[in-house]
Amino acid sequence: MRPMLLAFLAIAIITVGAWYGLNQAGFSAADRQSGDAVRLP
Amino acid sequence: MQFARILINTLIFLVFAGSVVAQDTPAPDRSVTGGAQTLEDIMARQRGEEVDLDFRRNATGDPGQAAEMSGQLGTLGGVSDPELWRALRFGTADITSTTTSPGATLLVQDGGMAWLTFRDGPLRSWGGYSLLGMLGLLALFYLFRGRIRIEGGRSDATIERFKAVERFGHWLLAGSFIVLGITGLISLFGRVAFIPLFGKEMFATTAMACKWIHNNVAWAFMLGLAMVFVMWVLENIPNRHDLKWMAKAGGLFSKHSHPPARKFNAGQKIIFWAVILLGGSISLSGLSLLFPFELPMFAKTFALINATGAPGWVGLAPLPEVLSPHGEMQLAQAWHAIVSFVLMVIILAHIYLGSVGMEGAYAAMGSGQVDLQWAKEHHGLWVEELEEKGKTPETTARATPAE
Repeated sequence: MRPMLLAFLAIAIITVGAWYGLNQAGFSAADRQSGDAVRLP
Repeated sequence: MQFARILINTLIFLVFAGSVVAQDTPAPDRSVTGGAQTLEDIMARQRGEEVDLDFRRNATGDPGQAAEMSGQLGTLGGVSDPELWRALRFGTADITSTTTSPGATLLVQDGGMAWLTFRDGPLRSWGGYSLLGMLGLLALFYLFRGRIRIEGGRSDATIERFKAVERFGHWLLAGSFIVLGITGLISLFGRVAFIPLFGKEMFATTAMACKWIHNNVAWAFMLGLAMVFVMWVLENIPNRHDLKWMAKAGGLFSKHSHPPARKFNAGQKIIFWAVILLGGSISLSGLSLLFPFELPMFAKTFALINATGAPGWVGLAPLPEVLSPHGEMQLAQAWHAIVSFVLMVIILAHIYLGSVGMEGAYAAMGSGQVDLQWAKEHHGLWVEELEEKGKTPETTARATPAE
């Protein structure tokens, strides 16, 4: 039972981590498709 | 009528995918219009017939023959306005954009309409029917076969089937797959199933949430897929016992039949390889969708397929080896959804057998300890192997009669 719950917790952590990490690394769709002259929020 | 509509939609998709069957009809006479499209061209399109548009696609002017700048119409650079619009229409105009997306300089991409028709038609219909069909089959199976019991009765001993890390990997993959499946289905069926029930505003919020969840949970799925592959690949290599198991259909349809199997039987191996191959393919097309226009895969895949000559075996023209950025994304989405439906159908059967369908099966992924009698009936050779290694039976009395 514990590995299952840990796995579900890991899914949540990976999900938020992927979103935060990719955005921090400049991999948002907005980042990837804009030029230097564009200021993103 | 429904079938005809589905068939027509499928044919449209095949055309959209570039699989155009070779035609040898004579070129139509367009002398009356000076080479421009005729009423017959327009009527043919209205009838839904395939019209070779090369006569328009290629009529985009000739800058090489342009008059000097000082000459008559010289400032147009040898390209008339209609020719410029044709180039825009067929995606060959020289366009620059400050947006760096590869898709930004393609202003008209008519493949999108065929893609939408496919997504809203055959994809939803066939995908939905396939899921419902599998649920119906499982219900029938339960009705006629009932729960597959431990024939010899539960023993008072258990044996470790999966270690904690194996169960973690399984649930990482399974949990993320279920979340991805639900959010994917809401994205696909939301307009027809969600909006009528909850309204557009509710669906807009739900759709955005589903997209966010789907995009980010994907990483957990890929990690789980890699873990499961590394942990179990060696034990899932087919062997001679699988043939015997297959010949008896694993004893699924007959009582008192327990074909011998090692740690994984042939049915589980089929599930394993389906998950790895289909899950791998879903991951690749998913990555292509996660990073729009950056990981185009279909043109290269089509080139590899063409190199084998496979399209010719079924009478099709070679697949297109040059695709627009949007065309790549549309194919990635279609493929992602088709393969996902196939995997969902297979996994429904897996979930059934791992839970209500078979007594004692869930414990393998629950506590990791399975009933010894269950193990002997379903994985007899595996139990023998463990006994030979002296690893079993390290049995413990069951504290509770059932999970």
